[in-house]
Formats: sequence, C-alpha cells, structure tokens
Amino acid sequence: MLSVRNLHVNLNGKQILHGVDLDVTDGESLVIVGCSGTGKSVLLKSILGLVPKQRGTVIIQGIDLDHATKDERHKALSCIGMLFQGGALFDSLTIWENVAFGLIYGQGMDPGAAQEIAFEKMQQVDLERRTAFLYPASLSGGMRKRVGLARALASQPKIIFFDEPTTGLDPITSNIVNDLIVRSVKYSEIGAITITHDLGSLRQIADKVAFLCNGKIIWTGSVEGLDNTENPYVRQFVDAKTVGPLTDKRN
Amino acid sequence: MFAKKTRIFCANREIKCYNPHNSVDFSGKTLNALAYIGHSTLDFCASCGKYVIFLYNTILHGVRPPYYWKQIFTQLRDVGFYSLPVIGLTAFFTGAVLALQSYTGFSRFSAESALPMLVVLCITRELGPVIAGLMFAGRVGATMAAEIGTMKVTEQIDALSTLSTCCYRYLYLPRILAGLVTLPILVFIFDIIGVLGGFLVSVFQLDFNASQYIKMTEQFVQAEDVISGLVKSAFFGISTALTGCFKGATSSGGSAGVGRATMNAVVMSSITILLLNYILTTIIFSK
Repeated sequence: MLSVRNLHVNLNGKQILHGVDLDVTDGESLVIVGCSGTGKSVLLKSILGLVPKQRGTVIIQGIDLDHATKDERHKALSCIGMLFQGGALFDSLTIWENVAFGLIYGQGMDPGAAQEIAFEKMQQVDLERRTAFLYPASLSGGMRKRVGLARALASQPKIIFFDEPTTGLDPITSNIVNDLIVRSVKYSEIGAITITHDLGSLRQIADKVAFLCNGKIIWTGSVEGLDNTENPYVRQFVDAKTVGPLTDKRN
Repeated sequence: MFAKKTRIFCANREIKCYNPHNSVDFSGKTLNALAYIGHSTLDFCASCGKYVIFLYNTILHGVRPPYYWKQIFTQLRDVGFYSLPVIGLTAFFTGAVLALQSYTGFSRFSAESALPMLVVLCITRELGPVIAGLMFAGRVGATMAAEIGTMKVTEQIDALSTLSTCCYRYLYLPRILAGLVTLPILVFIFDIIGVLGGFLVSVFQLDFNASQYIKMTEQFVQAEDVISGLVKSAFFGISTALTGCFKGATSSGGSAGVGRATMNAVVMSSITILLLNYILTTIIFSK
C-alpha cells in the first residue's frame, strides 16, 4: 500500500534522512520511534511531498510519485490523512467546518452533505454535537487532537499518519486517543504510520515498530521484539538510560 | 597578511577566501565588509527570485478552477469594508491639514484662491493613493503576513495540502484579488472625504465662500487626475497583498519569526508603494 525506498532528505545543507526504507500494508499499524531530532516528522512530511526529498522512491497505492501524472499524484496523496502534532486546526473555522474541510474544499462536496459526515466522524471520536459550532481556540488539547483525528478520517483515507498523537496529553486522555486510533485504524482496515516517544502508546497501537536513529531506520520488529532486542540503541531508548550509544552519538 | 586559505566568519557563516597573492595585504575588516555585501546581495537576489516564483505560482494556480468564492468575498469584506474607518479618518484630516498649510503658504503671496485647486489635485493625484496605500500596507499587509505566518508555523498550511486544497487558490489568491479590487475603491472614498475635509476647513475656518470653493474644485479637477490615482492604487493593492502573503508564507522560527515577517511585510510594502508611485507617476504623466 505504501512503500518507501532509499529516501534521502537534505534540509539547509544538513542531511536529515539517509536512505530510509519502509512498507505499510492494509490494516497494518507501523510505529516509528526514536530520539528527538532524528527526522521522524521530516520522514512523514517528505512522503507527503511537504518537504522536498533529495532522492528515493515513494509508492502509494501502486503509484510511484516520481513517475506519476499530476492527477495520479493527486489521487495517491489524497489517500493519505494526517493528524498533526498540534492538531493544525484552522482557527477561523468552526469545529464541523474543520472536520468537513477536505470534503468541501478538497473533494468539492456539498456543504450540507459534508456537515452530516462531519457530525458522524465527530461522534466516532467521541465529540459531542454541541462542540460542532465552537472554534478551535475554545477546545482543550485532547479535544483538538480528536478533532484532528476526525478531520483526518473524514476524507476516508487509505493510510493515516499520526505525528505524536499523545504528546502533551495527560495519561487518561492519551489512552482515550490511543483507543480512538486503534478503533479507527485497525477496525477500518486502513494503514497507519505513527510517530511517538510514548512507549505506552506504542504498545497499545503498534503492529510493527521501526527505530529511527540519525536519519536511518536501524531496527524493525514487533512490540515483543522491542522488549527483547539486544540492539544497544533500542535498548537504551526503551530502558530510558542516560548513558549509552544514543547519548554518546549525540554528544 | 593572510595565508593562502583563510577562514573568515561573517554573520555566523564561514566564507572561504582564497588569496592567490600572498604579498597582497587584505585586512580582515575589508574582507568581512566585502563578504557581508556579497551575502546581502545574494540574499536579496534569492528573495527577489522567490517573490517572482510566488507571484507566478499564484497566477498559475489562480486562473484554474476551483474558485473559492466564499474566501474571496470574506477577504473583500475584511480587507476593504473594515479598512473604511481608518481610511476615512486619515483622508479627512489629510484634507483638513493640507488646506490649512496651503492657506498659510498661499497667503504670503496673495494666492489663496488657488487653494481649492491645490487640495483637489494633491489629494486625487498623490496623497490619496500614497497615504491610503501606506495605511493599507500597515493594516492589511501586516494582518496578512501575521495570519499566514501563524498558519505556517502551526502547520495549518501543511494541513491544507494534506486535505487536497491548494494554498495558492485558497489563501493567497483571494487576498491578492481583495487588494486589487478594494484599494482603488478605498482611494476613491479617500479622495471624496479628503476634498470634503479641505472644503470644511476652508469654509468654516478660513472663511472661503462655499459655492465658489465647489465651483473652483469642479473646474480644476479632471477625470485623468482621479483615474491616475486609482490606477496607481490598483498596483499598490496587488503589491501590498502579495508582499503580505509572501512574507507570511516564507516565515519561520515560531512567534519571533512571525513578528519579523509582519514587520518586513509592512516595511517592504511601504517601500514598494513609494517606488511604484515614482515609476507609475513618471509613466502616467510623461505624456
């Protein structure tokens, strides 16, 4: 469904990604973990074309983005939904307008029909109907994440990217968001790539884990494999040790 | 004296210098100054290039459907209608002060009767478009840069792309169209209120005859004077909106970056207005 090969990204003269390979299939949830500043968010953005890649191949739903026509590229990219770290909700629009945005402006749907879908998706992420006419500024962090999730789901994507979905949330709200992700992703048979530092969240939502270090995926495996691995980098990260190869490399 | 290869740092960037003649004495200060000029020139050229590409992309995406009419009308309201109070007040006091100051000057050589002519020509030809343009740059250019800059740093513009919406069509084009359409209208209103301000001061403070003042104003003002100001203001409107959008879209570095982008948008728009005013005045009135 999504295949990335040898992805290199260079930003302002700094090499961020050094040949990343990854695959996500239908109904599979891949979680990418790694220290801050290793290029996790850049990886997602470069797949979406928001950050230019230096070289490498991105294939979405069988369409190679480098060799696709404009329409094919648009079709491939519209298969992807994304939940941004801060929600990235549009401040000037109400909650239902945010949720229905992609339907109205991206797909040209009638606003009345889009509103119905927006209400349905809001219900799916446990948002009450009365919040529909509020503005994002009046919502808590957890609610903003839910609206972001509802917005990402509204366009019925085949793959969803979650950029640190539980960062800045209390443990209870984190659990609620994780549940929503599992419900939305696993039961809808759509692929997902999640970036997180939260190992609790990882254990809840991951089918497959990839460890990104200095712009390279240095380990992949299952959640159980993560606990049993002898890889010193992953071991240090999982055990949250202050001394080890990750900190040595950074120093 | 430098060795053959010298490491010099300027504005936190290393500049690789190569001196083929060891005997030539370059002082560090001279090289640093030259490097600074070189970098500034390159940065300026790069910014100009990005600005032109931004304009090109806006036009390229703007001419193709879908057109976001709701966004266009919202911008026409926000940019045009909500600018009326500030433009109206500025116009009234500009006209009033112009009449007062001109009267003082003209009375020194008994030419007070030329006052209505001076007020109407100054306002329609120059003060209307330029002062309204500068007020517009301060109010609208800053708003656009701050709004789009905030959207950029909070990933809202990235979110637009992931929702299959072109930011050129949805964000920039409605603003640029609003600048193009509303500033000439605002300048026309400025002209009327400005002339009215001059008239009220002349009649009630400087004891001019009202009917004579109106007659002289009508006699001297020509359609060309008003139209030239409106044409200039259309260019000012486009350049202000384009600069506000460009500065916002290229901002980075959190709230401080948005602040810098907003300031740069106002400064750049104001300078562009003054420069364009000179160029357009030369072209329009050279006939």
